[in-house]
Amino acid sequence: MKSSELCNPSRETWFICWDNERVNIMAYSSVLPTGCLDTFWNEVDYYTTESEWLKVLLENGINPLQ
Amino acid sequence: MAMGISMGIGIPSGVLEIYSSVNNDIVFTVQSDNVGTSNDNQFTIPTNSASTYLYDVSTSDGYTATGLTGDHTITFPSGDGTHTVTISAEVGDFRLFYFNNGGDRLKILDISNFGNYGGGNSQQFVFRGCNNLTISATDIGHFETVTNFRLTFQNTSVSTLPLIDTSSVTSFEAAFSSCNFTTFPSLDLSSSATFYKTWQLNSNLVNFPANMFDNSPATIYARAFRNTNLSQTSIDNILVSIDTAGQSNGTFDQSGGSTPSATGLAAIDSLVAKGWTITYTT
Repeated sequence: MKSSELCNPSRETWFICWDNERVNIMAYSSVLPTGCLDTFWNEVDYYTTESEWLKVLLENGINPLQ
Repeated sequence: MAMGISMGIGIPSGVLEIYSSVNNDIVFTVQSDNVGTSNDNQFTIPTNSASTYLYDVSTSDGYTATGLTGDHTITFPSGDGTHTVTISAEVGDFRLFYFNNGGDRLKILDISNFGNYGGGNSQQFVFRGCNNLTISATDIGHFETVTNFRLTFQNTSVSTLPLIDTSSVTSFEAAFSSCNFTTFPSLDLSSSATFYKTWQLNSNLVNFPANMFDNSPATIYARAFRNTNLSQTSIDNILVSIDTAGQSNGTFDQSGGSTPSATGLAAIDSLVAKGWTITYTT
């Protein structure tokens, strides 16, 4: 069963999926206007600017640009 | 030093003759006057100080050197231009080139024979940034012990590979990103842990085999297929195969190319139910 879904956003949208306790980051990436996101996780934060998304990841010890 | 080995079984009557030849040399071409760190009539063979080497080198225009143990700069007797370089070594004595986005990376054009290349654990960074590099070799070298393929062919012109033995590789991170594949070969991915960015930015990648991930324990496919041009059959092949592998809590990214069919969408539903996060083309 899908818990969260985002399809064809108007612009690239970055996301972070958390576990149910919002303690651990379970997935992160972005969805393009030509794409869809399907995820198991309920707790999903969306960002319209990459820098905000990146800031949260770095604060949690994840550097996706490496 | 290793040399090419020829073996023949001849029957004098001429009724039957079997002849086979194995070329153990590493053979490649270079354009010596492309931009690089050596002069226009030179090419520097890049090695990795973390490995040990013992090799001989010869060129199509008569240069020779023996007993080499590290980087070596060839000065071509005939001057600048296109030259064929042959490295002779025993297995394990020339485990890896090491361009890593530097040196004479733009001078190497094509590897036509792997020969005794390989025999070590890591191929990390080896051809990274060799923008003009293609692989025409049909032999498979000695990749069977390699565990690290991180960024191996990133930013090259490689469009095809022989069926090298990748059965021990755990990290394929960005291994084939920004290459020129249209069809990807059926490599052994059975030890893989991560495919982070592995095929991204292969804008011509259309065809991907079925069942590639059936026995892969990997859960990291983030950005693996970003900016590709996969056919519907290919994206279905990929999703069904990852689902078949049965892993939980993974990530997968596709952009560009075709949207999955009902078959691929069913695989997405199955994966999400197992804790996966999937982005895909619509």
